[in-house]
Amino acid sequence: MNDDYYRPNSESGDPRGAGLRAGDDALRERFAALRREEERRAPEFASLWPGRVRAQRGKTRWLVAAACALTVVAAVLWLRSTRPKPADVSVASLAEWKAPTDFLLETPGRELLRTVPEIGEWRGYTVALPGTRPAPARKKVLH
Amino acid sequence: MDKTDLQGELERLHPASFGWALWCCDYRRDEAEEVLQAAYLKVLEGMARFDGRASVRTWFFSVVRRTAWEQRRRRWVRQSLLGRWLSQQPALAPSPAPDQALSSSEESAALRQVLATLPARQREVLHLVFYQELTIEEAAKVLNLGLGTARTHFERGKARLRGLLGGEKKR
Repeated sequence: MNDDYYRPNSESGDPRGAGLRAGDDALRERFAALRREEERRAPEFASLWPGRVRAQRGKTRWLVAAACALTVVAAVLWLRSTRPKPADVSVASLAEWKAPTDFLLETPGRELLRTVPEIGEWRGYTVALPGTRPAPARKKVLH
Repeated sequence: MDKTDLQGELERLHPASFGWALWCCDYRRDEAEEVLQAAYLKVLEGMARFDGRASVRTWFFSVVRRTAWEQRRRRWVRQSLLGRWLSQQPALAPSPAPDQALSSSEESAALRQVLATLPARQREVLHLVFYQELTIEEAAKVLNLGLGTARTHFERGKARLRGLLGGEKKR
């Protein structure tokens, strides 16, 4: 296959060339007739050039974006309004809590067990003075 | 190339681009207009950028082709999923007949009919070379094919087209 055959043919005065053989002229003629016919029926360039469409698209995009933003804001507000508020019941703090059976632990003499006695002090007892003897305990005689 | 220059160039190319869009949409005029407008929009919004590696025509034709493919895929998905579910229509509705208004001359109508029987790749290469007067190399770029592959499609398509057109004449 000759490669030059496919290159634009400047000698024949055909600027595009397209690598056509002499026998292709008939085909080329038929295609040219088809092209002339279709080009006559082509719509105006201005009617398809989308300058206006583009401007409208730009506007539409902004509108869609604004609508989306509004929807999101409305949804957030609605969700916040419908969310249940925290109950208004005051809960006693754990440090202040007392068990209802605490009184059972109040044993007699509890204070004595809690405190350390100081030396020299003897609370709750009378001091025995030297020379005095406590009276001997008498036996109770039951008659 | 700034936007004004590019717009001027696209305006100059507009009739040829429309022809290519028609081709990519199997001669459905509404679809072709939609595709061409979507392709212009891609250019305007910078989704398709001309980097100067190929000619504006080659670059824009590949944008149109890709856009047509995307639209076709979108339509197929819509028809096969949503359409089937909503209206109980068949997955792929039979494609509507090509725009009859376009086929004013018998010769052109015959050529279109014959071309429709060729494989898509051969059809595309033939269209780009004969109709759009691109070189095979440019056609290969538009179709994202290797040069050798494009040449093969071109030769095979041409031979087949000649045979079919000869058959048409004999009838």
